[in-house]
Amino acid sequence: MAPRDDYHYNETVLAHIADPHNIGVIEDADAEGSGTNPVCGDEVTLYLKFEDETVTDARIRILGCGAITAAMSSLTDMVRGKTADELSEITAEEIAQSIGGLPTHKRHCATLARRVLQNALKSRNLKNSP
Amino acid sequence: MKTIYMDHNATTPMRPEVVSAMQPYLGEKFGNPNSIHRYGRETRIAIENARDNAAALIGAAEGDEIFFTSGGTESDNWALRGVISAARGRGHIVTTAIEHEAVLATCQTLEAEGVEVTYVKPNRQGRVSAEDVATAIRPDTKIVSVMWGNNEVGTVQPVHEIGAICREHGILFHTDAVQALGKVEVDVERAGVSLLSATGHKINGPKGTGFLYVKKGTELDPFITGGGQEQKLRSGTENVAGIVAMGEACRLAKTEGPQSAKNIAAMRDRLENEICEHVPDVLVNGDTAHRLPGTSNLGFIGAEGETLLIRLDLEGIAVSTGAACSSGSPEPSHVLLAMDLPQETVQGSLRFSLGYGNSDADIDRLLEVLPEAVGKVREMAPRLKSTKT
Repeated sequence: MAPRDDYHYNETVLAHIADPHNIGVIEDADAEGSGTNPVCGDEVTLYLKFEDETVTDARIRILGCGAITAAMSSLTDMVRGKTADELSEITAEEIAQSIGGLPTHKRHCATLARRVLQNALKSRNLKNSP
Repeated sequence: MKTIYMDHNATTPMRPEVVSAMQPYLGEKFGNPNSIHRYGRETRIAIENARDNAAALIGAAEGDEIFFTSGGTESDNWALRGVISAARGRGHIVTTAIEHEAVLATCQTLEAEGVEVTYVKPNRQGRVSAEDVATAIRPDTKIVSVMWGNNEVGTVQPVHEIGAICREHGILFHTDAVQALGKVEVDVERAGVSLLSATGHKINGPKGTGFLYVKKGTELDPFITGGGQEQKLRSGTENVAGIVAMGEACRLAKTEGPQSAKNIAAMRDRLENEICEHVPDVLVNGDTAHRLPGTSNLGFIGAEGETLLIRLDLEGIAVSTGAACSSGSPEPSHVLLAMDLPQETVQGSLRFSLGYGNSDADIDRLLEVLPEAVGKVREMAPRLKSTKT
């Protein structure tokens, strides 16, 4: 059953929108993934820097709604210190939970955030492949 | 933090006069207006006075052409379903692609029941042409439903021309005047309107109040049945306090509306001109020659409307966006899409709607905050990285 208020953002989401973490570009990123939502037009790019197989820096660029902004902002915190294998296990639900949940009609934003992360990991694999 | 409300198309604050008018009917004047005794007579007089004020606001020939409802949505539902029901559930409806969901969802339900509906498209300014409406009329058309003013972009539709066409064809003309009432002159006789939907909460009255104007002689079945109130057409004990308050709001809109509309239009024009001057890459959505006085819908290219809205909200300024993901739906605004606007305009659209209580100081404050907010949102974007604000 959906919560009674399945419409408004919670305070955690609002805080991320007010001050999104890690906006920017890593010029020499080891991994870069993008994603779009063709219905609402959201566009996101994630840049990752790895050292000793763990993420040391993560940056984002976003043209998107509050939910994708909060999801990506939180994701840049979640990925730090994790290995590629650990990143591949991050689910959309975990991303949504990291910001205290999203309204039902916004959950696709957590799915987009996960897809962008997966795309970044694929780009790293391509770079690392012989 | 001082808060500034610029979302009057969503709802409006109740005026103190309206609150005062309704207060006795929340307390000592509690009678059922259908009771024979003095308690009933007292509240009956009050709601009939409100009915006359509503009739005067829309130029209705007689007060008993006003039927109180719970709001604009019920009025829209009743007008369409009531006409189709009176036509034995068959026929054709002409409406537009930019109507409020109260009309569109009702039409879609009627379509599922076998009624045919033609949705006339607007031009890029959000205005439908009377000729297109005329072309859509068929021999089995029972009703034409075209809103007076659009809620998202404020475009005022050519209701007088459409009314004349409907009169010529002998077809009923319904208009959702929820946004137009109190802002532009609404005269049902001059406009050739058979049915008109209105609500109290957009004219500084209370939520949960509204009315449907039904021109004498219109064939309309009841939508809510029961005790036979409202001339046996809309049952249910009347919301006395709400009706009295809406009546007072109608009276104020009638007496103060024209001057207030001029002042609000001047403020809106200043807001729009100065935003366009201080923020690059802004497009005005709508028809500036035919527009509700308080509405300005702007597309901030390279930004996203909802993120901007929340940034403004955190500064105490309340605005709205009809764009993507904003109103409980992942779909972008059906109005802006019907206008064939480019996606980046739709995505970056914000609606400022001014009304009672706004002042030039509010515009000053918005202009202090908005350029920086737009700049920050654009800086986050993957595209237009060089855009300066």
